[in-house]
Amino acid sequence: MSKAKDGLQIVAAPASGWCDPHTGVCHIDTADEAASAEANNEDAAGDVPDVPDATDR
Amino acid sequence: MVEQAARSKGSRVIIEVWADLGCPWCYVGKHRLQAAISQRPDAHRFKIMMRSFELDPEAPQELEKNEESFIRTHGGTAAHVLQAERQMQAVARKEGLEYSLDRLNANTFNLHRVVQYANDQGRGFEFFSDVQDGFFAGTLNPYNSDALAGVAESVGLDGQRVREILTSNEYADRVRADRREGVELGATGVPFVVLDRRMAAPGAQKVAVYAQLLEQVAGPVPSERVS
Repeated sequence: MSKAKDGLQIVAAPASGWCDPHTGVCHIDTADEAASAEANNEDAAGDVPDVPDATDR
Repeated sequence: MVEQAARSKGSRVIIEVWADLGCPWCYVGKHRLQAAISQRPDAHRFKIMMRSFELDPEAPQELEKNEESFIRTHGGTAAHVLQAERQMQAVARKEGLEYSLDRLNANTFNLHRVVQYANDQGRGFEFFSDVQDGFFAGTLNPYNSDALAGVAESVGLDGQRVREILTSNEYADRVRADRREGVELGATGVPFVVLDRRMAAPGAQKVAVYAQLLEQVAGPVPSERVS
């Protein structure tokens, strides 16, 4: 599940999403995260054509 | 072994969270971490400490619409930003969180300086969390001194002291030092959650993952323990 880094174990499990510490760009890792959310939210689903793999803050 | 035994008896566990205000996954991740903690009958053992991580140190002090800040830094179109924002809004709403699409962005350095002060008073997480919730709900302008002072007072801090900090350069070094330390510890994603300086999770993890990490650093929930 994790790997060692300077005594700190870093979780290797994929995050649902994150913001890149160097660029600030935010990402959604799993397509089902957004897809399932949109299926539960008609307003948010709106006219979004596809599920991209990146979002921004 | 001694350390593990002490923790199983109920000692405090420090959870450090490197985050920035404009980061939507920091918002979602915080609520997931809180959910994981609240599932445990020994939730009082966990103390969350906020650590500063500016994602855009060069952001202007002037307010920008969300899409304006994105296009300024990364290019693209307003339509692309709106699409991504709606996607993020859907994720947040699925988890019962408000998510306004009309947020305004600006440089968060001054906010982080106040967070550092709040940390010194033992209220850093409470302060940042309330600011974050208000920001994403679209009910708070976190770049307004009076608004920040108001949130500070609502969590038991000195609003006048917050105003003084905002007109000075206090805590600037600590904000920058926090960011450096986060990177040095291996933050490949923000939020970056470090539990007891033993386990770390980059990005917003699912509640189950946070729950597993809590168990690893603090032992199983008491009700599950075999006596």
